[in-house]
Amino acid sequence: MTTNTTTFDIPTEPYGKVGTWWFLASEIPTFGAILVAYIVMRLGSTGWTEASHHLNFNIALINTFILLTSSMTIVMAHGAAQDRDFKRAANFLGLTVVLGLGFLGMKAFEYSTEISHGFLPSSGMFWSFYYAMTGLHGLHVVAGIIINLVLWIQATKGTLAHHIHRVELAGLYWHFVDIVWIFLFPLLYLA
Amino acid sequence: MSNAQTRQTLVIWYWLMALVIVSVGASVVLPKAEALMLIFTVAVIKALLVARNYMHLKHEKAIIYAIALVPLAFVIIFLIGMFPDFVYHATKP
Repeated sequence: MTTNTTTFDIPTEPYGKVGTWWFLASEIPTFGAILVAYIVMRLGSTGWTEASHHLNFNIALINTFILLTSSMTIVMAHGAAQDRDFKRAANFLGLTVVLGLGFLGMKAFEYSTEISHGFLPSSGMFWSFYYAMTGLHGLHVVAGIIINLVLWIQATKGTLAHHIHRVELAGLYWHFVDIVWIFLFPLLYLA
Repeated sequence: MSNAQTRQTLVIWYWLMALVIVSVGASVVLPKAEALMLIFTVAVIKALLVARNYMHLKHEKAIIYAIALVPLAFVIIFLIGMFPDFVYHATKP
């Protein structure tokens, strides 16, 4: 007697990708809460526009170009890793790290200028929000740089071949950090 | 990564750069209310360009959309809920 068994291929997403998206989902309320609080407080108050005029717009604009460009370079790194061209992947990962460091360097210079002019987190509600939002974002940039640096080391040593998907996951995180800045820039510097 | 994919990645990057310039131009040229409308519309477009193309959302399954959109919906509900309290009860800066 023979029995016929039927097997089904259940389509599933890779665990790493789902896990990364879960993590990003937890980040959305984190940044969302502070952005919403900023928006409603600013709409209900006066004097915030004047305070924002003390920010260094030019540095923020350059940082916007830097971060958007780094999003492009990490996509290129992922593409190169998929092609198993690890030298090219390493180059683009390294460029992403350099751009991230450039962003932090510019931000540090901006902070130092503002602090030297007496604008501290305690200088008013606008400044409290400004340092909280950009500081939280900056910490995420630091984390992204560390992740990309680890991948760069793996790519240069040739050990990335077994973990190509990690470049995609790191990219997802890096793009999320980029999207947060896409909203921080107009909220702080253009509004 | 095919040449077409590389070209698309670069095209998206050009668009992002151009949209930043549009935002900055709007803040200089347009009256405040119109400028803010355009600036935040452009910000949403930029975020969608990054999410759909660089984060590959346009190729993802419904489960990924659900994971991303549910917390976003909560944030929007939070914004709508908080809005009247603060906007109609002005506070000091």
